[in-house]
Amino acid sequence: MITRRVESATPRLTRRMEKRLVAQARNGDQEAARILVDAHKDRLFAFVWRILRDHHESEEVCQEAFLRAFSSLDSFSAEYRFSTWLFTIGYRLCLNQIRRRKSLTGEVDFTGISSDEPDTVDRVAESEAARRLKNQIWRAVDELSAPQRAAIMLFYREGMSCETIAQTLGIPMATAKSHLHRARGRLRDLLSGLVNDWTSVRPFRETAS
Amino acid sequence: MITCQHARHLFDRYLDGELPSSLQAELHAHQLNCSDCQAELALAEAYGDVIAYDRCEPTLSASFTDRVLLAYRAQQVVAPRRNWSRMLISIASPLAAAASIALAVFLIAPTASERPQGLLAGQIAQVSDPTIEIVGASGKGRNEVKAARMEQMPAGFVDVILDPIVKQTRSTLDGTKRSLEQLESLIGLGFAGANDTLAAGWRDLQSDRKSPSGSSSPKISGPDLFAPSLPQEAAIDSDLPFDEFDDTIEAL
Repeated sequence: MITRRVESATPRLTRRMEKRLVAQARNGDQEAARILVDAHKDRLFAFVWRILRDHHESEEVCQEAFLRAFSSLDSFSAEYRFSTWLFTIGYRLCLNQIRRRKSLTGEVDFTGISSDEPDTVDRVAESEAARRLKNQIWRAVDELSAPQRAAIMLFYREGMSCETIAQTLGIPMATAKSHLHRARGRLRDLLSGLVNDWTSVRPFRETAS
Repeated sequence: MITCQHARHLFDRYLDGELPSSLQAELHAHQLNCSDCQAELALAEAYGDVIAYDRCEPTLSASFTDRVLLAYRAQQVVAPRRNWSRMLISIASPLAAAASIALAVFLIAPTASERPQGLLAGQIAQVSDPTIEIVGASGKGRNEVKAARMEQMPAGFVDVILDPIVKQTRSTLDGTKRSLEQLESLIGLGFAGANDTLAAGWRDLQSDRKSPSGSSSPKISGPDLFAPSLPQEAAIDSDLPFDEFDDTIEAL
């Protein structure tokens, strides 16, 4: 069985700490709000950017998601994680943004058009073959529909269970599973012709080691 | 041993982490002998790893947190203004609704003179009317049921509830009317005239209080300038120490 424990760049808050910070932010504590923003902003931005593929729009959506989350802290239920709630708001804002784009530009969905991946220090250090393979995988991810992309990002990147994905996306669990399974099927179709033997290919771990 | 078709059916549950251990063992056993299934799972693990660990997304601008907090602060400043209007609406709406209902009941309900003598409040609870159920069950219209209920309702019901309110409202209106008349009369007299009249009236009132037997009528024409604008009952019932107040004034 595959168990994935994703380590993020920003250390994740413990549930207890998160509860305390949410309670403080509810009382208007700006410092608590700052810690909550810093702890979640990168993860939220990565998720939103993967769906929208536009830096400016993604920043705006993230800012709006935080503001909406803070302004409705009173209705936040402590049984959920703050991140789940934040991702839910972020996802809905993304869907609104995509709808707005469609109304402005007809049926063209820019999320499917892959742009050049940004170069980072890590990427320069990668081998050319691994980098190309990763680009192809991300390009395949970009081919997925917005709900499929959201489901696959939450599952692999955020390490969420199908139940939590369903809660986050506001859909039944069967639908969440369906998005995830269809996304896998589509990725398999898009990627299976690229490499003859995937058992010898571990694009991330190769470069990480 | 499971077939390739069966193994592929299990892939998603395996990748979701929901495959029971017995089936996992069978899948692993199949993988050892089937290179196609092995490659397919390897592909899934490869893209899973990339999605999970390859953080190739652009980064947020450095000022993002500050911008969010600034906007949040601005939102907090604006929020109380909104709350005031909401509070006003939340208070005014039920009051307006209650006033409308009271007015409607007051206008629609027949006056006391049209009804037989009212019942005491204690008698209301004793009234039982099985006929209402019978009327309702017989399939008559809602208005007929209502009419039947009105007939069965004790005659003094409305009076018991509304009479004190009506009395209070009437006396307040009378008081306001009296105040207006007094004011109009003073304006008509002019400043000097009003001053003299008030001084004379005050002296008369004091002498009347000292010798209540000689109940003299007011010596000024027009409305009684010293009649209280509040209803007499209210003035009598109030706890204000009028006598003590008068004594203090005299001592001064």
